[in-house]
Amino acid sequence: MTLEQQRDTVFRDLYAQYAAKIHRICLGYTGNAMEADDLLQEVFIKVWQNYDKFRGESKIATWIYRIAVNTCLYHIRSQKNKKTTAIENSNIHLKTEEPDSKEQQIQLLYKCISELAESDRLIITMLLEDVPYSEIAAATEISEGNLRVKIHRIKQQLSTIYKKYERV
Amino acid sequence: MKEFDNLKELWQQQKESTLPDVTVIIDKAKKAKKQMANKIIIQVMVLLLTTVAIGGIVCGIDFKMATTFTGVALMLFTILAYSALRLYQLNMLKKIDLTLSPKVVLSEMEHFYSFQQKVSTKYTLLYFVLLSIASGLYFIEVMQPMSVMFKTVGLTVFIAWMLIAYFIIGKKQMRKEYDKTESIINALKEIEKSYDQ
Repeated sequence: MTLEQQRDTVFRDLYAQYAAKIHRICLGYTGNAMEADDLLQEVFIKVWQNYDKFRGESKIATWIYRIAVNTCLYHIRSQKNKKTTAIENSNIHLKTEEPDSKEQQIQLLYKCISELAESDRLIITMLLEDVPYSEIAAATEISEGNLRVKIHRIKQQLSTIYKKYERV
Repeated sequence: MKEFDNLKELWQQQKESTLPDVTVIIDKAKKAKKQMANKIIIQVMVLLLTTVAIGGIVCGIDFKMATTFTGVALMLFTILAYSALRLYQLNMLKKIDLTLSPKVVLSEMEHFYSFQQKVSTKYTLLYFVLLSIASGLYFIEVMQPMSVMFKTVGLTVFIAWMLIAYFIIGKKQMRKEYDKTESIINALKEIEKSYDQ
């Protein structure tokens, strides 16, 4: 097996393991399925291209999350060029679903996440994905103490926004 | 925090989305590297061809006046300098390393867009002014044998074009470019701020 084939095999394993999570993080950030697909591809293209740089100083998961966070932030370029916010073009169709259906509640959750600040969206979706605090702290490079304070505030904010929409 | 736990439970119940095929991503990753290299090669080729074309005109026609040579030299210098600036900018964007800390990435992006703002406003204006001066100098000799009427018409068209290009097209385009980069810089600052809070 050549080096490139070995890299491809490792990459396929990483993709199988993390793609779904990263996709949901990207979806939480953009609120748009097509943009999330594009971001997911960008994240894994970066993973493939930079794999040689990974020195094992952190967990591979943390490294991938960090690339995901940066790719989402980097995405601001194309987002701003389009002159519309992601949520305006989003595929979140609250009115077309049956009220109170699980699917609608999930869509509502995405809408609420989209109302948070960019960096908060990333932190909260990682938390919703059960990523440990230590890994979120390492990926975002925020101290664990500061992260806990932030998370407490974001959780409150998200719950408040969700309740506000639920009442409507 | 009970409410958040409910939201988390809800989040984790969502259906799995259909994800892009991994083979497609591997192919794209391999192509992306080549594409960036090709983009730079194309830019350098265009630059070389322009230089050769201008050089060809100067050698092919027996120019006499110093203004013509000054104009051509200024034209060459302006095109070379502006292309070098664009290449530098492309390289700057390519160098942003998404495996580093998000804070570093944000500050590199901010630096890039501040530079882009200068390029698309001040430097582009300078490029336009220098090219116009160079063309003006070049046309002094080219227009020499023409009749006074042709000279007047030529000069009027040239000045009118410069004024329209600068005051109407240029200013509008520069404002657009400035606003675009400014909105990105502000968004980046906003993210940096929320990061520190």
